[in-house]
Amino acid sequence: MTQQMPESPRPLPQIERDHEAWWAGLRRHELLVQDCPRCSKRIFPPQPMCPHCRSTERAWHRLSPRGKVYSWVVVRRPSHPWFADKVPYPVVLVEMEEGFRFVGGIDCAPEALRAGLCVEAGFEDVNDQVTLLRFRVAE
Amino acid sequence: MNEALRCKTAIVGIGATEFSADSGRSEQCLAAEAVLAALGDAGLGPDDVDGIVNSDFDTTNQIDVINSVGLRNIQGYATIGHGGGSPCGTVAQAAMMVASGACSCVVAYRSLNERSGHRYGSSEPIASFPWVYGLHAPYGLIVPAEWTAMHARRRMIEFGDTREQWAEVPVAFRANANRNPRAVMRDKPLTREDYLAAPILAEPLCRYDYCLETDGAVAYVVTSAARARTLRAVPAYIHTAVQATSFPIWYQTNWYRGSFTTGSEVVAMGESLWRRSGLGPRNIDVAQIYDHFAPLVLTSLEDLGFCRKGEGAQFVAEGRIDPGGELPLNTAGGLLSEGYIHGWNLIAEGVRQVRGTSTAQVEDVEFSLVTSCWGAPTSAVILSR
Repeated sequence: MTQQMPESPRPLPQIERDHEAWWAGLRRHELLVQDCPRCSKRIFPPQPMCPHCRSTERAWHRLSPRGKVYSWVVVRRPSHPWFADKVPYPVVLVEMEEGFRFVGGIDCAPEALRAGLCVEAGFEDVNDQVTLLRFRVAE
Repeated sequence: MNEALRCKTAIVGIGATEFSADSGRSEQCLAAEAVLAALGDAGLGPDDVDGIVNSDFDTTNQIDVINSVGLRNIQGYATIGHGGGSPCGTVAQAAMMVASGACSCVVAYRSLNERSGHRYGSSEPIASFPWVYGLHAPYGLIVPAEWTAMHARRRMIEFGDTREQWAEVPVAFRANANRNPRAVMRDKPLTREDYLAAPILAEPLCRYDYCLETDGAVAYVVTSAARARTLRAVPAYIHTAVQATSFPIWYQTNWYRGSFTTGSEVVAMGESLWRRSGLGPRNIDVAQIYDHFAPLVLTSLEDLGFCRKGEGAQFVAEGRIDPGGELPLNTAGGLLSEGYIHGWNLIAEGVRQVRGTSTAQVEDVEFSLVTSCWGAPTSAVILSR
């Protein structure tokens, strides 16, 4: 049953111990991937243990903010009350030039979206804990 | 399960409640009714049951089913993981429990008030993976349909899929449901024109691309092949049942995997299925492919090897998946049109096709395939005559 709550806060991430560094990076407006100091493999989403060499040491690599639209969705019927007055809104899946994909919002009219559109990561500070990705079309 | 267990066990009973939008009773009650119906179908009773299996997403605890049905002889129990990936895995589990001698007769059930109670299509996060929700929900990809739309769009980009092509799947499954008195959509025809005219909800998907949300329960009973031959129903032998995943794996829609349009877990499951069964796609007479979303049926057919990657849309065209076609699919209507019992009603239909009792019966079925969901650790079973 759809719950009609008097206030419908935006869905926000639950920041857990193993992912704190990633969210901290977003707060600094940095897009990070895990960079294993032992075997140099890059990993996203973050893991407490490197699945390649099993090291629990962790380090981070700051990705270039540039990427291309890989796929996208335009939500026309909201499934969460917070988005009710925001439809239609686009959500993009961006392939970064260093090879990882991220979901994010985008400042772009839905009809302007196409595969391969060059974008740059931007950042939306929601509160003290949470900064979200918001892409923009590259110049 | 490995080759040594091939056809050592059989599904000998299937049972279900009605499928509806509001069952008017608890999930526990639905589970108990389905279990009793499956036992009745097998000509067995609660005292014959010594094993019980269900899915991790069930909110009806096995304890409550034991207490409701009065299962007095339980010697083994298991709960199988990964939601929509679990159904055929429960068949593998039940087969192993029986074939190992741990149990002689296992009942398995799935019960949910998916429409009148908690809906997977609601805005609440899925409790078992809260942190993953944080990677896409804040941007407005809240429900599985919205995640899947990203996959569907990528199919359009990579393979040139069109909505006209996707229409084949829901229209074919609806026609099957229209012949099935149990189906939620039994009285509602669906044409290509209806599909193409439907409002887009999460572009590029419309409501007919989405599975239903249904109240109901399904149960089945597994025993040894030797005992099966003494019972009333035509045994649906468990030829091969497998579970598989890939590395890395994710929670339904994997934004991060190498190929976004390949279900690496379904590829892994298919490889195991064909290797262990000694069969191939050409041997399958009828299939129930997990259809949470219509375009994922195309992706699943590719990943299982029924056609090449990117050719799913062409494969389902020209009546090939209709009851008289080359590979009849989801002959009771599937999750798109019969009901959404989280993939368990597909098992019941796979059994009916072996028995010869489907309302869209395929002639001379020797091998009946059922798969569980694309995107999570998954499973499949080949049932045989």
